[in-house]
Formats: sequence, C-alpha cells, structure tokens
Amino acid sequence: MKVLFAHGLPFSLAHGGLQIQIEETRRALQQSGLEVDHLRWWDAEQRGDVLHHFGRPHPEVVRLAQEKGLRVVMSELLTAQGSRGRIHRGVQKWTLRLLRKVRSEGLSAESYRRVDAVIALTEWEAHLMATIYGAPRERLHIIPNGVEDCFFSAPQQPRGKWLVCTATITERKRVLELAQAAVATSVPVWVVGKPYGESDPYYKAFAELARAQPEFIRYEGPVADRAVMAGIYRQARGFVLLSTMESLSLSALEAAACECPLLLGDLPWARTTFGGQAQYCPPFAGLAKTGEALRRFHAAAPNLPLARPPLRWREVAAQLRQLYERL
Amino acid sequence: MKILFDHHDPFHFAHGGLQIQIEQTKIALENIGVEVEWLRWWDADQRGKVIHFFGRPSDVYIQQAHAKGERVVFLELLTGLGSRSALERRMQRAMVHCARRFMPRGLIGRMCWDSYRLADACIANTEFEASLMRQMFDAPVERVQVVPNGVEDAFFEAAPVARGPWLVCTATIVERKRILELARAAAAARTPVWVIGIPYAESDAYFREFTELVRQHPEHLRYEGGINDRGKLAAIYREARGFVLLSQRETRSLSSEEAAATGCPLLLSDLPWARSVFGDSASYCAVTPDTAVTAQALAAFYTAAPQRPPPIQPLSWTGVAQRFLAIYERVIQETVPR
Repeated sequence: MKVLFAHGLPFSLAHGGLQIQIEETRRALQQSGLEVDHLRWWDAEQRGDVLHHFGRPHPEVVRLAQEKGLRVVMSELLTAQGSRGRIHRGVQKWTLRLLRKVRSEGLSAESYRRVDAVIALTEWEAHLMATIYGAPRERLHIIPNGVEDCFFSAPQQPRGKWLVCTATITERKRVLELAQAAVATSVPVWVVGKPYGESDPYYKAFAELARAQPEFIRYEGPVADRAVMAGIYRQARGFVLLSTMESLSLSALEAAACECPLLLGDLPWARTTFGGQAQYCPPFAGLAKTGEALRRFHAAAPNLPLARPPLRWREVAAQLRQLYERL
Repeated sequence: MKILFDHHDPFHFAHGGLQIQIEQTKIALENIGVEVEWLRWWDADQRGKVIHFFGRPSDVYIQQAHAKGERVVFLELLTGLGSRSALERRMQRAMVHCARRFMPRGLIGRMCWDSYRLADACIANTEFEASLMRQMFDAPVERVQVVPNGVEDAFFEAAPVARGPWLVCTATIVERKRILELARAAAAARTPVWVIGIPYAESDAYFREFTELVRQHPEHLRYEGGINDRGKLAAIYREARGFVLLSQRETRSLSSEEAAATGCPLLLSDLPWARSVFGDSASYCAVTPDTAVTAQALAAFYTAAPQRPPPIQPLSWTGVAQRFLAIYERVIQETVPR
C-alpha cells in the first residue's frame, strides 16, 4: 500500500507544529514498513492507494482522487474554530447550513462529507467537525499528535528558574503579551521560536522587549536540535503557552513528555487534552491577570501534578496504518 | 531569478488544458533562460524570488510568502464565473459584497477573495477575465495583467494538406465540455465528428453513454481515445474540415487555439471568452439543450467551413514566456512586497 501525503501551505512559507506533525508521521509510518510519498502535483505518473491530505482538500480534488480509485483521508486543524465562543460557532454552523441549502457545489466544507475518513486531533475537534461541518460520525477518527522518543528519554535534571515557551512568534501565540506579563511580574521566561518573517512589527516589538529585559526574557531564537529541546524542557521550571487559538499544541505535548508542568491558555483543546493536569490562564486576559497567573504558576510549579504522557509517533503511526488498511 | 510554480490540483487526478499550459509555460521560460522549479511543499529550504500560483492561493499563503520576501503572482481560470450571464454575475457580486459584511471571517477567508488585493500580480487569460477580476473581486487595475495561452511550435509548423471530411473536437470527455450533446447533434445532422480525448475516469456514466453512442453511429462519430503526440495532433487539425468545441463553460480553450494555429476553421460555444479571443474569425453556436438547434448550427458550419477565413493566430509559448518574464521582473523591482 502506498500513501500520498498532501498539504497546501509550503513548509518554506510556514514552519511550525504542523510541519513537525507531517514529517514525524511520515517517518513513523515508513519505519512501520509503509510506503509514504509526498504528493508531487506536477507528476502525472505518481500513483498511490490513499491520499492523506493535511488541511482541507477541495471537494473537486476529493472527487477526482476517488474516481482514480484512491481513498481520501483528511486531517484538518480547526485552530480558529476550536477557539471561538459558542455564539460565534453557532453563527458559523447555521451560515454553513444555509449555504449548503442554497448551493453546496464548490463549498469547501463539502469535503467533510465526501472523504473516506476525517481525522481529528482531539475529542473537541471531532465534535466541531461533526456539528459544524456535518462530518459523518462513522468516518470520524481521533488520532492525537505524537512526540519523538528523545523527549521521553531525555535524562532527568534539576529544574532551573526559567519557564519555557516554545512557539512561533506571532500574534496568535501571544508571545509578546506573555513577555510583557513576565517583565511586569519579574518572572523569568525563556522564549524559543522564530517569527514567520523578521520584518514583522509584532516580532520586532518582542525582540526589542527581550533586548531591554534580559534578566526576565531570554531569547536566542529557535532550537532545531530536538534532543537539546528535550534537555531544555527537562531543566525548565514549567512550560507556558497562552495562545488565543490552538489545535493540539505539539510543544505542550513535548513538554508534558519531559514531565514539565504546564500553564496553558484556557481553551477547549487544552481542557480536553490535559484536564486537571495543567494550569490555565484566560486566553484574552489583560496584562495584570496574565502576570498574576504567571507568578502563581512559577511559584507552584515544582509541586504541581504531572500531565499524562502523550503518545509516541510510532503509536500514532500504528493507529493511522490501521485506519488506512481498513479503508 | 528563480520562479516557483505551484498548483493544488494534481495532474494525476485531472489532466487537461491547464496541465499543458503549466508544463509548456515552464519549458518556454526555461528556454529563455529563466530558472523555474515546481514548488515542493515539503521542502522547507526551497526558495524563489516569485511564486507563480496556478489557481487562487489563500490570503494566508500570500501573506506568509510576503513575510519571507517572496512575491506572489497567480493565474486563475474563471471558467465558471466567465460563463455565467451578466445578470448572474451581478447577483454574484452583490452576494460577495453582502457576504463580506455579514458572514463570519472564517468562512469568508475560505473564499480567498482578498487574494486579488494581496497578490503582486493577478494574471488573466483574456481581457474578459481581467475585467471580471476587477469587477467581481476588486483586483487593483494596475496589478491585473492579461497573458494568453500559447501554442506549441508543432502546430504552427505542421505542413498544409488537403482538408478531409471530419470535424474535430478535442476535449476531456466530461459534462462541462458537452461532448455527448455534440455527438447527438452530429448523429442527428449526419455530420462526421471525430472526438479526441479521454474522460477523467472510464467508469464515468457520461463517458459510457458517449462511447455507446459512438458504437451506434460509426459513420458519423469517430472516437479512438486521446492523442499524446503533439505533431500527430497538429496534422489532424491540418486535415480537419473544422474544429468544434461546444463547452458549457470555458476559460480560454487551448485546443481551439492549437486548431487556430493550423488555420483550422472554428465553431465554438457563444461565450464571452470565445468572442473576446476570436471575434468574427470564428463561428458560434448557442449553448442549448436543444439537439435540433445544435445540429442545425453544426450542419451550417460543416457546409461553410471550407470558405471560412482562417481564425486569429495565437501566440507561441515563447511569446507567452516573455510576457511572464516582464511581469516577474516588474514585481521583483517593487522593493517591498505588498
């Protein structure tokens, strides 16, 4: 069986958790003996049995692939939808229903009904896929992200003073707001990550703050070496991620694998994944509230309960393989 | 200067004119010294000065490319939109305006309407499509460029031969191209039509109905599948009495321009794209479900074809590549990506 992986946003334009997810899933599937190719859109001779699209494929592509005999699987991150309020989601749901009645042809949401399987990362996303997009329950599967072995095997070390936040430096992740709160409450935070573009004013404001407050904000850019990253989590006092929108944060799972206490934005994905095993901060809280949550977390971190360990990529691959074979 | 070509409909799933257009544009650009690569979505290290997207990229795509210092030009075929009536288009424009005001941003974002305002250049195949981009999507006038399709040299160079009895139709065998309706009209008018092309899938009911009709009318319908050899296809156009394409929707038919390059008379659906490309140098047939009306137009064209003047000649792919190069150079010269 050959699986073709497809994705619409090139990695050269947008790095982040989804890139790691796709790369690690492919590696783990290959290690399990499955043939996995990247879909080369220009190659009319490329063949496969399953098209696994990361994102939402156009319904016409789904139809054409199925006509060629491929089974189509889609994994979409409902990052924005999953972070909206109930009213907002309700408006979206009813607007979609109305649009479907008027003219469903070409509506991208139709892909949820046409593909052979839909993969959600969390129970929460599966719920959204069924209720907003009408994905048939019997075709919905929950397969979470995995974590690389090095995060589980990194040796235990004494925990230091820094809270760590690993994220792309962009508005959605609220890294600047976190840094401002850290400075305001004198809590040391180490930010690991890079922006989509260095000319981004949001990034420049963050970098300026980090330069001005080196005792509270540590910033040395991203860390590409995964073992080094695991070592950083092992040494960290805690992990912080206060994004306004998130699907299932890979860096939070990696920190959890390193037994690092978690402070997360209070969003449904985080509650359904970590429940009472993480601390929460309202995602749109102002500077004072965020600072207070940060200060309390820094003080309590050494005594907080540990989060349940996440899956390893090979366990994720085993679940996916089972799904492909069933199709 | 390195150009990255990107597209979201894999050629393996959907062959057709757009595939030829993309492949020939790449070859022609390379022939005039421009470095062009297929965009490998999984390659985080791949860099280019300009991304040339065939289709409509999302606004996020364009914003991320700009953040990386890359320019984005896109060429979209407005096949469906361009084939709607003026009234339908006015209604659509009104709906777009309402949607922008009242619909959730998440849903609006899916439509990628803002891409027309964000991209460094929007490329239309025809003047008509350019006007649609400006009117329907508020594309800035100065960023909309018209670059037609090209035709391979083989079609210009094919040696003239005596024209035979067959009208030729080259198209994917799918509802939108109305091949079955053409075949029915040909059988009714007893006009010989040779259909060249393949379906997206042989299991398609429309295709099976067409092949069944061909079996019943071998004297008026000829079908032997697709022809990959471009020299052979050029020779077929040279020998054909005329070229017919009665699609319901079309952007700018590559096959009709290939036929035009060989001097083959054209009978086309009466749609704005065709009028704006060929004007009075082609014959037209209304898009109608009435087989008798189509049959009558077909018979009239069959009779008149030998006396028709040759259609307007298309550009070669080299000419197209030079136009693209000028656009790439212009967007690169703009110091700050939009």
